[in-house]
Amino acid sequence: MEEGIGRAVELGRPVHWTPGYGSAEHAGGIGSTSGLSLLSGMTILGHVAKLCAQRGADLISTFANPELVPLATEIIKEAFRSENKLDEFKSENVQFISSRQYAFATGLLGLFQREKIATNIMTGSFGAEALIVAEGAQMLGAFQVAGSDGTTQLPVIFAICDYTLIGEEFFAAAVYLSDDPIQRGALRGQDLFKFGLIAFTIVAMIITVLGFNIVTYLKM
Amino acid sequence: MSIIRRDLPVWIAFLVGVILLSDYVFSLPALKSTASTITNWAVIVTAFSFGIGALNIIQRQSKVIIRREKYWIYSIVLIITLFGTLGIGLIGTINHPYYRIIFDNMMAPLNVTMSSMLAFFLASAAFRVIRAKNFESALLLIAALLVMLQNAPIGQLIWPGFPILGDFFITGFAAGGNRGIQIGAAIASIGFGIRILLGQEKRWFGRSE
Repeated sequence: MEEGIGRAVELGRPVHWTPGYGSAEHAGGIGSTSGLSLLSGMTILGHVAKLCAQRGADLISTFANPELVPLATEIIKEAFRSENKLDEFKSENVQFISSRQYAFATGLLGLFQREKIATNIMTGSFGAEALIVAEGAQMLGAFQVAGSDGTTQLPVIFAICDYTLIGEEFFAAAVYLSDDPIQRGALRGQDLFKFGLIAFTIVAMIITVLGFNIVTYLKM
Repeated sequence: MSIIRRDLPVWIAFLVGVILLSDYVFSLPALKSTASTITNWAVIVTAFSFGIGALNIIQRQSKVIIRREKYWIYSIVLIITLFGTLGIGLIGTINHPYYRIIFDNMMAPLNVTMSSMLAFFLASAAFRVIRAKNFESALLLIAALLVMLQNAPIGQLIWPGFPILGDFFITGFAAGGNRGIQIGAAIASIGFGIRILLGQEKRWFGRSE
C-alpha cells in the first residue's frame, strides 16, 4: 500500500479505495453475511487514509452500500485529523455510486477514466463487479491491491492485481497494520487454534484410514 | 473525545451482537422477539441509508455543476434522472407505466450490457495472465488448458481422457485449495467478530485507539 500511495503522489494522481458491492442490491451491507468483510475492509481504509494524509495523496472512496458513507467519512476524517491535516480532507471524495452491481461497476469505470487514478485498493466483499473494476484500473496502468474473504472472485483479483490478500490474510491485515499488542495476541491465538485444527484433521484422517470411524467416537 | 463518539458504538455493537448470538444459541421467546425487533430496525436503518446515498449524490453533483468541473453536463443528466425516477416512483409507485419504461427500457438493457461485457474483460485478463513466464504461470496455463478442454465439447473428441483429467483438477486441487481458504477465512472472521464484540477492534468506526 505504501508503494501504491507513493506512486500516486509521484504521478500527482488520486488513490481509489472501495469495499466493493457487498450484496447491496439485496438489502445487504453491514447487516448481511458480507458485513464482516465490509467492516474488515473499513479497518484497512483507516490505514490507507492515514498514509494518504501523511504523503499528501488524494483519496477517493466509493460505495455501493450507502450506510458505509458516514462510517467512511468519519474514518477518513479521523485519519486526516490524526495527521493534523483536517483542512485537506475532501468530503466530496467519499462517494456513493449505486447499490446496483453493474451500475456501481460502470460508475467506477467512468470515475477511473475521469480522475486517471494511479492506485486502486479494493478491500471488502466483491461480486462480479470485481473483474470490471480491476480490469478498468489495469487499463489505466494503475497499481492495484485487493483483498477479500470470498473465494469466487479470488482468481480474478489474483490474476489482475499486483498484491492480494486472500482468505484469512484479509482479516489479519488490519491487525498486522496495528501496533496494539492485545490484537496481535488475538491473532496469535487464532493461528494456534488453526494449527490445532490442522493437527486434529491429520490425526482424524489417519485414524479413519486405519479403519476406525472417528465420528462414532466423537458422538459418544 | 466524548463518550458518545468513543464508547457508545462499542456498547451498541456489543449488546446487539450478544442478543443476536444468544438468540442463535438459546431458544427463549423473549430473546427471539428482541432479536426480531433488532433485525427489523436494521432493515429500516438500511432503507433510510439510501436517503443518505441520494443526498451524497446530490451534494457531489451539485458541486460539480456549480464549479463547472470537467463533464459537468453529465452531472445535470444524473440529477434530472434521479429526480425524474424518484418523482415517478413516488407519484405512481413502481408499477407506473413510465417507471416501467425507465426500468425495462433503460436500466435493464444497460445492466445486461455490462453483464455481457464480463466475457471480454475476462478474456483480456486471462490473455495477460495465462502465459508461461515462470514455473507457477506454466502450471496455471496447463491447468487452465485442461479445464477448458474438459468443458469444451472438442476436448472429448480430441481425447476422452480430458474430461476426467479436468474433473480431477476441479474436484481435487481446486476444491482442496478452496476449502482450505474457506476454513481459514471462517476462523479469521470469527476472531474478527469477537474482537468487534469485545470492543478491541474500533477502527471500523474511525477510532484508532
